[in-house]
Amino acid sequence: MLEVSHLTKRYGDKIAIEDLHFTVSEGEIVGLLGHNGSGKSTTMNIIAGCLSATSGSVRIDGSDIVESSSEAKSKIGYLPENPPLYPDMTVNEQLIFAANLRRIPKQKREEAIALACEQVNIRGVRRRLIKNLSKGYRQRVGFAQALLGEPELLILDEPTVGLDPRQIIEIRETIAGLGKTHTIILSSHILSEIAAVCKRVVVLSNGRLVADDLPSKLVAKMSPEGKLVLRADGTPEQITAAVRAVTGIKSCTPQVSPEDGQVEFILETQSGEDIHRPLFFALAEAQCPIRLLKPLETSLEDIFLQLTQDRRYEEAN
Amino acid sequence: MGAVFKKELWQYFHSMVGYVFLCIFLLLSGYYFSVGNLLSQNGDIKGFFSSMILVIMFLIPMLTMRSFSEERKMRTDQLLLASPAPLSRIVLGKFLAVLTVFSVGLAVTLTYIVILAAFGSFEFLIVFGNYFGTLIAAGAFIAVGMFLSALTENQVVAGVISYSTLLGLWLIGFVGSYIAKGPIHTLVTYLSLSNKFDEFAMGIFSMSSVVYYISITILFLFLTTRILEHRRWE
Repeated sequence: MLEVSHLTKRYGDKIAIEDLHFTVSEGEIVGLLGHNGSGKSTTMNIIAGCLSATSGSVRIDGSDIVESSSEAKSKIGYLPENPPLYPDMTVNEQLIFAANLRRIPKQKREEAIALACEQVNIRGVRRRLIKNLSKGYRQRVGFAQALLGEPELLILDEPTVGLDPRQIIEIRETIAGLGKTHTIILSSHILSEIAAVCKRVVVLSNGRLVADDLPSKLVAKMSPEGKLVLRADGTPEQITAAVRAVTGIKSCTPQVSPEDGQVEFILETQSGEDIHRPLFFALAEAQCPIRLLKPLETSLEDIFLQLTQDRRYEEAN
Repeated sequence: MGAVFKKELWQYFHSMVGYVFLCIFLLLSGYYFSVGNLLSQNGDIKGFFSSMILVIMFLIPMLTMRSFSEERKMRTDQLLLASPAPLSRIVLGKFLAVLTVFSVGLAVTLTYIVILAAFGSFEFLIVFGNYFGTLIAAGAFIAVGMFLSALTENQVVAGVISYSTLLGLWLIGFVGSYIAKGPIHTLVTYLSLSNKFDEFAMGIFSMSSVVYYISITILFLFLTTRILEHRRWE
């Protein structure tokens, strides 16, 4: 559906994105993740054909965004970071203009607009002037505009910015619903948002792609192997002594949990060794019943921070 | 093209711009017609047009100054750029919309012709030549104004620069007569927007003037498209 190959964009000396390479197949919901200024919007602008890349190409369903732009663009619905709306128009007038621009035939226009309004729940404001609408409504009018004519590929640049928590949930549900019939790329710097709706995450840092995987695989990949988290009743000394006695455990380090402030232990095991049974009996013998024992997982937030901590370019500029 | 054309016309007549333009245009044209023709009992329409062309030059930037600068400032250009319509069509749609607003004003002045025809002389070819000349000259002014509007985000800057450019190209014609014949003289007369119009005003339908105004229009519409295209690459 979408092929982004070796995309590079320079603004003068500044490199906005560098050698970006990924594909999105039909029906996927892909999240573009990165901190502010990592090149998300630039990438989306190039995919939508608003900007031209310095080198590299974007193909939508086989048609190049530069060479056969009309054909490629007619398959895209694009919601930029600031929804492009004319403040002195009513919602209806804006949508009629957008529908005409997308060459939706007159007899189908009303139907298409009604459907888009239905999808993002803005039926009630169709006669109101855009300048009198709140940020959340404007965002949704922009969203409706992108949905007109049922484009196969939706590009949504931070679709939930400026919305209240309730609207965020609504928009997420809408996106998840649309994901059944559309291919969607959405960007965000908020991780929970991506995790909530996207099946795949593409992480950008300083304009370079640093990860491209399923959120769950990303967690597995980035989590250290053979590390366990343990909580048990008893004094730290008792527990440490009991744990040290078990063969197969390399180290046992106490730490205070960042979540609830309780003491827990990080155990490092020798690879291939199943220490669950001996550990259970050792602690039982020491009168320290186990409260919690689980593999140590890095949270998506930590992964995001790890992946994007390389800020060399920012500092250089 | 149709979508942009309709939207632009809608915007001119839903904001004050279209009405203010028509109001000032008709006020000034009414003044020139009353003083130059009615009060001085002059049945000749040519003087009216040679005065009006300056008014038109003064007013056109008012219509063109917002055309691209406003879109860029409001970020609505992204909607146009992401649409399947090619840039040349978008530029043409905007150009035709401004020309239409201007033509509405110009059409009202046809009543003056009716008055003159009823009480004085009426020479079809002179009237037609003048209207045609005014229209294509205005087309050239609009194209220049739109080009300058595509260069900046600030519509006031676009307006002022358009006005000074048009005025400069007009005034340069008067310098021409003081320069000895030679390359500079040729250049100055070529650049001058006024020399070409004088021929229409005198009732001469000169093909070279027609070609001149139309080629200026096409050149600047082309340059506008190039500027917008170039901005994608910046």
